[in-house]
Amino acid sequence: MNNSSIYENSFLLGGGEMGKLIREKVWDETSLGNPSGWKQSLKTTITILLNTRFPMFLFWGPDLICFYNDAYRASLGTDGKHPGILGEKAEVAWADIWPVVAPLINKVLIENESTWSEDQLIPIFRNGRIEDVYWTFSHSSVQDDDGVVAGVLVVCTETTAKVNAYKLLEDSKRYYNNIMQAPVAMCVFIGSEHVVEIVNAKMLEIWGKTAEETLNKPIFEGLPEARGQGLEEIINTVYNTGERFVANERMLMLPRNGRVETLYLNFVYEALTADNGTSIGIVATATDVTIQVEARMKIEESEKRFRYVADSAPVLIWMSGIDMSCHFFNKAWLIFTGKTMEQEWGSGWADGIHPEDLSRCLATYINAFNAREEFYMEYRLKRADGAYRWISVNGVPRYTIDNTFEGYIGACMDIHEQTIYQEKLKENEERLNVVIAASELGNFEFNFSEGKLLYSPRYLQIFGHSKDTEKEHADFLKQIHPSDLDKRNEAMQYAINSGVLGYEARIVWEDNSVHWMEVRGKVFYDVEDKPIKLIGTIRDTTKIKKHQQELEEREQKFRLLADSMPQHVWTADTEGNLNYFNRSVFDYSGLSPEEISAVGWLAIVHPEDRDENVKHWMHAVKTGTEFLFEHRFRRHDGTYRWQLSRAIPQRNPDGETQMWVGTSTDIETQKTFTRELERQVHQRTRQLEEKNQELEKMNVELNSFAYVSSHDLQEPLRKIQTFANRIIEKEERHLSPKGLDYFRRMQQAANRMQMLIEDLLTYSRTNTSERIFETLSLTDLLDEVKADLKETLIEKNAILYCGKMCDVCVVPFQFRQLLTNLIGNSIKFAKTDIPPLIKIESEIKIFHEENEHNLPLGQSFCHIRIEDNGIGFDQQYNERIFEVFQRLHSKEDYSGTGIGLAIVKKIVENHNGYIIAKGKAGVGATFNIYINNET
Amino acid sequence: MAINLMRILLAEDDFDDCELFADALDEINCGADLKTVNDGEQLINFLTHCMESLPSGLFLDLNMPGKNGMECLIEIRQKEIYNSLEVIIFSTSFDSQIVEELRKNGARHYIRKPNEFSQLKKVIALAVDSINNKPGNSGNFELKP
Repeated sequence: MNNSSIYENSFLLGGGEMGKLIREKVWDETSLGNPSGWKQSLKTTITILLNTRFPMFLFWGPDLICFYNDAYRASLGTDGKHPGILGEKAEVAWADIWPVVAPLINKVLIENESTWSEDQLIPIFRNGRIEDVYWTFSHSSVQDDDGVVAGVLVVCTETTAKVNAYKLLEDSKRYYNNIMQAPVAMCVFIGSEHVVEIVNAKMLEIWGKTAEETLNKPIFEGLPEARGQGLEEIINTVYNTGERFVANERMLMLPRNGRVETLYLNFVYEALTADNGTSIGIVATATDVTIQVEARMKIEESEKRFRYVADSAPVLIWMSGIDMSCHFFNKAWLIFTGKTMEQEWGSGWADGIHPEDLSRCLATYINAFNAREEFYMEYRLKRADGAYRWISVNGVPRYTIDNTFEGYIGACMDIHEQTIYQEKLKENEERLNVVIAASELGNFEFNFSEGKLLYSPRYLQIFGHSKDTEKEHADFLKQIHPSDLDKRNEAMQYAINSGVLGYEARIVWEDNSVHWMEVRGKVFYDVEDKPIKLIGTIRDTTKIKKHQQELEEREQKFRLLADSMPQHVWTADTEGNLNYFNRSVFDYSGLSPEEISAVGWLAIVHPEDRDENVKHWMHAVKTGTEFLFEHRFRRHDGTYRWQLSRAIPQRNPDGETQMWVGTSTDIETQKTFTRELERQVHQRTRQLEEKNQELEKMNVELNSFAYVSSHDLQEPLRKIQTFANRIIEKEERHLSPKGLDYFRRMQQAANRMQMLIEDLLTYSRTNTSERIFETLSLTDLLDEVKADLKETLIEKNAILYCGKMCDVCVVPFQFRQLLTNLIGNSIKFAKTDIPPLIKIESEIKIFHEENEHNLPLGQSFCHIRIEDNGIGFDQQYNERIFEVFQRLHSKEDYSGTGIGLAIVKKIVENHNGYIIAKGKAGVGATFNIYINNET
Repeated sequence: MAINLMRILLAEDDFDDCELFADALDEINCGADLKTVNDGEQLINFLTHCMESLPSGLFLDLNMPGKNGMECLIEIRQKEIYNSLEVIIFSTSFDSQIVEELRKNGARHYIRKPNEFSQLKKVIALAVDSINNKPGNSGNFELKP
């Protein structure tokens, strides 16, 4: 069907918005089908529905398809069911209120009865929300063409506005009644005369008047008692200005039971104004608070009394309110803390509490406060002098007579001394516990009458049980080693009698291991001297015992070892008292241990050795140094034998001497041997001494020989020479040529003998003469020598070249001799064809490295070098030339005794020096002399 | 008699040496008057008894019986009155140590008795010259022919 056909359905014409919607709706998909096929009765009903301004709604057909008109549509609001429910099944369209709607519809459909509902609340979804909507409506049936009920027509009016208006009306009615029946006294004054318009019973009660006496009369006429109490001015002001007036606990004199009484009132005057703003009257409300005020005054009075009492109390008192903060401190408190009430107010008091105690105190206070419980705590409070004192406080919640919680009151006491004492006690106890714990003692307490034993965990441990086991006294008793049981029982018996318990016993653990314990205790008695309890400690001494045993075993071993030794072994304590001797000592001396301890060990020492022995021994003991001494011990047969005694201090790890262990070894044989050796050495020494003396004597003789040589030998020789000379001079012509020759040879021999004697003398003098060292310039020394040799030097045309020179520490006359000899030597062994050139130089020299002459390193030497250009010598003779009478050349070629260089060497040796000769035949000789420069 | 006759004293125990010395002094012809003593005692005695006419020079042998030459020298040098007396040691030995000591003790010269007569004459002549030239520089302490 097309749209044009819709217009053919004339019943759908008009009808405003809903008419349009119905026309445009595609009905073919609904159970009603195309409108052209709709029954006449439906068409007629829709025509009525669309053309009435009365809100109508129609459910039609078995599906109860929904129709409604423009008037109804307003009730659906916006954003609601409209327009979705048009043509929709009722069940779907009104799903939200179906339980309300369905019975109404059914009633019409099934019973064919019309319904009437007035101002029924049916909340519906509209305007985007569920709204409370009140309806007055009627459901009636619509019959179809065949007279069968085919639909339900709902004619309705939304009465929400009406209902709400009525509700407001009800409220205002109630308001009036409220005024009239309010527990608060109320009244309304109208006009400038303040005529009482409305007054409720409460107000009349306050006024002490009846309604008749006051209603419709100016207030001060009806209530003349109120005059002259300042109310007139107040009422006028409120009336004139429109400003509200509030009075709190205002005292007023009003009539009561025929007389005037004092009342306390809270009241409010509120201006009533017309729409134009002019005052038309006053609404007054009042509350009689006389009882409260009087009660409070009483409380205030009692509080004052309380404060007076509190302030005069010697204890510190504070009070807090329900907000936990404190608002009262008594005088004692303020004096104690030295603060003012303002300082302590609220939570200012917390400043005075020791910082270490504050959080704990607050926690206690707050917890108690919240639980409304009493509390007790101790804390340190700062006194006015700055010292913190221990304070105890008892806090109790406060309640009014009617059981209203008001806060806390606390009383504090200075318990400083007490606390300190307690703390000390606690400290002592802790200390004791620490000591007990550290000493690993187990504690026990035995109650004699009950036979009950209390014990510490350590006690259990010592008995080999874990800490939390429960044991009876008998259980422990069973653990005591059977062999020690008697000992234990005896000790207990003794303890009961004497009060002191002490014994050591073995205990057997569950694993059958045996342990040692040491028990100490004290018995306490009652007034009748009956033992009540025994308090004591036990100690695990297993280790100590084991150690002791080991010690004993070791001691045993030591004794066994010592006794098996042939040497004497002994020990001494730290004082030096000998306290042990091995068997050897007894065997040797023939004394028993008792005899030795009776007479003392010194008795076996030879009387001659005793003093020294004691002296040495005490020195060793005093200084802790090793003792080493030789002395004689008396043997059992009365003979004395030499012993070498040695003792070493035994020290602990701290180096303290614990004991001395000594040995004495028989050294008689060695001693005899040594004595023999000594005797022999002595003899030998004496022989040597004799030899020495002989030698000395010989030396003296030798010296006197030198003396004799110098004078007694030289003398005759010189005379031989002189007289021979005289003969040649005076008697030469009387001699035959042969005789003259012999004579001259005799003279030469005599001359030669003189040279020998002189050189020998010089040589021997270098040995024996006194040696006085002087530091002098080598240059000066050389000058002297040069002067001595002047003529020879000139004669031989010799050049003496002196280079660098240093000072030298020598025996001057010896060194002069040395230089003379060396220079003389060079001149003597000069080459015949060239004049001798002798170079001399000296310098200080220290050798730091190995050198060709193996001179010592690091020592300062004066090195003198004498070099010539003479005939030299073969290097192989560099040692031999220094030997006495060693000549490399015949005396016919080179005169000389062969002693000159020996003298040189001797002098160098006298100076702890070294001389090294270097020579090359035909080239020259060099003498290097090193004289120690450090003396 | 020459007014400035030089007086020389010889202290010598050996008669051979005395004779040789006298011969030598005679031969050098210096006109000296020689007196001889034979030991230390005699020497000291002589000197104490001739205070007015002290000899100019004393030739002193070291090796003499009794008081020896060194002792005599020390004794003489201790007395200021003998300051003008020159002491010339006349000895066989030659020991540098002793020579040094003699010089320190105030001897004027040291002469080692030469082995040849001619040399003897020479050294005596040197010594006499030295005495005469006093206090001129005497040169070497030891006089050699």
